[in-house]
Amino acid sequence: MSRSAARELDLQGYRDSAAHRLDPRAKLVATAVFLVCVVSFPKREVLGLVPYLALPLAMGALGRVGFRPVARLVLAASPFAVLAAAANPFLDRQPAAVILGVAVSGGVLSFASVVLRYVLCSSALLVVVAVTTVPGIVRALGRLGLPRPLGAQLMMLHRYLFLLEDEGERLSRARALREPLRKRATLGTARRMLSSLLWRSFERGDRVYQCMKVRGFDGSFPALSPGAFRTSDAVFLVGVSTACVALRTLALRVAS
Amino acid sequence: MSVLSVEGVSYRYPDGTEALRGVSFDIEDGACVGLVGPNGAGKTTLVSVLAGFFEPSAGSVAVGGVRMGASTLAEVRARVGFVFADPDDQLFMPTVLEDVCFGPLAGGASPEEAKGRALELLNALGIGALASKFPGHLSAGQKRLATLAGVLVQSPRLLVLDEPTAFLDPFARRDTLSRLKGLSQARLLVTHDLEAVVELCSLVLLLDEGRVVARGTPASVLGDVALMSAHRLERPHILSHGHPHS
Repeated sequence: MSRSAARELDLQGYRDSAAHRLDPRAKLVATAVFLVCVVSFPKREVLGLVPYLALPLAMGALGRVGFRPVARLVLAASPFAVLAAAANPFLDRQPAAVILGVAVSGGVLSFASVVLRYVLCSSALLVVVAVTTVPGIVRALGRLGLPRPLGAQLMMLHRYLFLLEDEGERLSRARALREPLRKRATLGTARRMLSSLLWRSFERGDRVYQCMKVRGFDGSFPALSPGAFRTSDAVFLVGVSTACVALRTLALRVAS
Repeated sequence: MSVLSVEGVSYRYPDGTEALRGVSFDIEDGACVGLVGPNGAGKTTLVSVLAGFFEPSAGSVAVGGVRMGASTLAEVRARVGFVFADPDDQLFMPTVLEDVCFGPLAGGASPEEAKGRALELLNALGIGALASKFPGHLSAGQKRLATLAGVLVQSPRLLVLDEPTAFLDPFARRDTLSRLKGLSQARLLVTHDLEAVVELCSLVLLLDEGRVVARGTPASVLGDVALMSAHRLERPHILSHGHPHS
């Protein structure tokens, strides 16, 4: 399910919109500020986090990012966040707040806080990918000081993930055509398909690498034009960062 | 003058399979040579040797007088443009323009120069409007032209085209062939598309079991029914009627 959503999201990065045209560095730094603000809240905070939903929503609307692929990817990884906080309601049963006349324990609040933070952080990152492209992000990271070999590895990882997906889809289609009466592969078939997938992906990856080598690949992905950091990028960066910090400061004051 | 000189090249795979046995041929400047043969004849292995992926167990390869070796590999590769069978393997940059610019940028060209050359070439190939597109969104014919642009932009002296008409519909195939016909570079066309060989090539090499078993004009080699049949190939229709099958 999340596989095609990832591809869809990746392709959205190649659209053109005001959000897409922003310098990737501005988007990355603004997102980093957003993430720091979100994770810096106390563990039981819920209400103070809600206004932060506005950033991914506004960015998504500006970049005309489809809601479905983002939601599907957020949902796909959500079991990890839910599991991480699942024990909280049982470990911390002390009433911490009264909501609509009902006493709510600290554990329930911290559970809700973890899940909300997960939704905020993952959706913000996914929206940035959808309005920037992964290669654009890697290049921006490079210009922000990421070592070149690491950047090249990220680019390769991105390319090979989709190769793996392509090969997996072909294998899956081949199995479905030859086992029309069986909806899912048996464990034995799945095991053999997995080993075949790894081998085929390795071979395909090798072919791609060879194509790159003959065209002069030396470990780096040269950028065509670095692009200048414009006033609109600075306005976006300062605006988003200020809003994030202001919301955090406001929450601090309310708490005190 | 020979652009490509292959002298007694042999290659044995690690499992002992002898894929090439003393292959020799030359390609003159501007000539188009077809390399044909049944499956398993050694064509892909020969392309891999020419690209420097495999080191021959005997013999030598020279491009433009430079003998291929570990120390000259980069220099040799810069003189040869490889178009591989599956364009999806070859297009690896985020946009068509960036992909075409990859070679010149990797070779040290400035971004402005690379962009200028790439756009000029994309326009010449009729796909200038696709410059900002994600390669994965192109049709098979457009992908083929984009890969061609990616190698032509480096001004190679020799083009090695591995199944350049694979995956193409008849119209895209015809378009690709007419563009290949108009190129001035020496070309080695490795293919099962024998009609394309008749249309483009002045010399044909028939490879089987790792050996060049016949060489000559397309009419003399591909028109020899007994020879073709002996090597699991068929005489192309175009030689019988003077026009492609339709």
